[in-house]
Amino acid sequence: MIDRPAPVLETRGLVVRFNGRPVLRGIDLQARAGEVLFLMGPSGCGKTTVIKCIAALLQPDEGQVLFEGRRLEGVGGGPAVDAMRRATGLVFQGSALLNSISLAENVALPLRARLRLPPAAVREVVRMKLAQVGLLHAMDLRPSELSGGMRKRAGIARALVLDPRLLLLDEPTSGLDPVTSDGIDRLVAQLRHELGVTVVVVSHDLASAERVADRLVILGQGEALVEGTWAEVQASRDPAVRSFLDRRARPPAAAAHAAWEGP
Amino acid sequence: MGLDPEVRRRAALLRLDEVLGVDDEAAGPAPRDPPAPPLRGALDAAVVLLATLYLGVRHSLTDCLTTPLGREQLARQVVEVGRRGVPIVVGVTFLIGAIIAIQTAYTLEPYGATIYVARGVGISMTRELGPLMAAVLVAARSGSAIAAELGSMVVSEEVEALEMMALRPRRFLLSPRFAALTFSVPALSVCADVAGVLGGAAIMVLQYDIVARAYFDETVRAVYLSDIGSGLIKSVFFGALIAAVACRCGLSLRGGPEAVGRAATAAVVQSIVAVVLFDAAFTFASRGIL
Repeated sequence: MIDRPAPVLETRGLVVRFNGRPVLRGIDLQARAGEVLFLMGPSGCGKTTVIKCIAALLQPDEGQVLFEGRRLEGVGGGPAVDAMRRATGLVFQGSALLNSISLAENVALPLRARLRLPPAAVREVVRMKLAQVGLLHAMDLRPSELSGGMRKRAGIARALVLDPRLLLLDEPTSGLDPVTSDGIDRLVAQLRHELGVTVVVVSHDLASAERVADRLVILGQGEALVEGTWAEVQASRDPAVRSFLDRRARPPAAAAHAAWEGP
Repeated sequence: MGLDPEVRRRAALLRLDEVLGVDDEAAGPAPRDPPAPPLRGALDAAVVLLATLYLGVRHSLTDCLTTPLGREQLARQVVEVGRRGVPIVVGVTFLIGAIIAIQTAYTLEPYGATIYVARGVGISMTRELGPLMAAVLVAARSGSAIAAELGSMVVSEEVEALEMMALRPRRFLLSPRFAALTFSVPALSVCADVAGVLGGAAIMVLQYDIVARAYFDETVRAVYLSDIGSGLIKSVFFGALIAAVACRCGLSLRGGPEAVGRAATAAVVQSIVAVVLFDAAFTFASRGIL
């Protein structure tokens, strides 16, 4: 019998409806300690909705989310939600940095909200986290003065500042150049191997998933179409999964132009 | 309580559930449910506005003064709303004092009673126009800015990010703004009173050859502390109303960036209406008309 670590995070039968239209139709997920789980799928398939349910920012219509075995109840808080948020870093798609304060102050916010540390200690931790994502030189800038890639990395630094056990990343590499994307992949791998952080990544980026994912779940029409390692997912014959995965083998631009039949 | 689901969710985020009795389960599904009918929406909004006022009154000072983050946010808001509002309030109310002086002098001059312009300017500025103009200017300048800032934060997921960091929106966003406005509007009202009286004096001295000393003596004889006090009491409520309306408009924003402008406009219109309605009720009640 294979000894598998217990799930840090589990969703059971998540159902979410927007205006009566089902967005999630019963999602069951498990993320085990120290693994990198990718949630993938086309736009609008409900990836970000899953992340928001996990972070207790959105209440599912049905189903439940368990973090380290405890059920999370309600968007308003409660001990289980508070414990989960204390142990979780969330990087939003648009980074969600506060524009009225500097980068260093943004990264310091979770520390100041959660811990009563002396200012010198806060500064030291902030410098360390910003150095980890290569943004030490920008610590006094406002988020509006940063590029998109820098804002993403700053969001990651803020999510890491409390040394989370679970890291949720919403589209961490979207809109970034390949070099910056590689850097973020390396950071995810480093967190997983050196610190044993469980990472759940919502992404379209197949190259990134191939590099760092332990397991993938492909979503489509609000359902989990396939789940497994990169090789297992590649072997899927599901047409919706193939349609998503085969984008990698797209024809060159010339062929796309040639295939265009006009209006 | 049968509130619109979106209102319930925002209420839960602001911890208005303490006031409204909204449970977390009910506060869940949000932007996905169809909007409430207009009248129902207005009633919901009024309930949330009252609850926001209640929370502001009950918690804002303790939220702001007990933590370093709260004190920083309060100081930031006091500077933004109060100190930076001084030039516009002083400039506008100086001119209003001058205008009132000109119009009153036009009436009194045929009777040789222009010295009594000082009474008219002093009493109308301290009892009514100083606090009211300070409130209107703060609503236009800071109410819109607060609604737009909070609305942008909702759109760009910053409010949710604060939730994740255990920085409750009530504590981090509502309380500092509520406390800053409740403190700043009375302070700006005092500036407005003084500027208005000076504006009136400037016209009377320069245009009607009234001796400055005589003008100020007449003002001091006419204006009682109770006049200034009633204006200041009103302005405390004006500040609280503007803060509650602006925060409600910002934090209950639905939609994308295009909704931010609408939230700012709504904040200005609604807070000015709320201020004038309160002012009318206060004045009628204090004069025994109601």
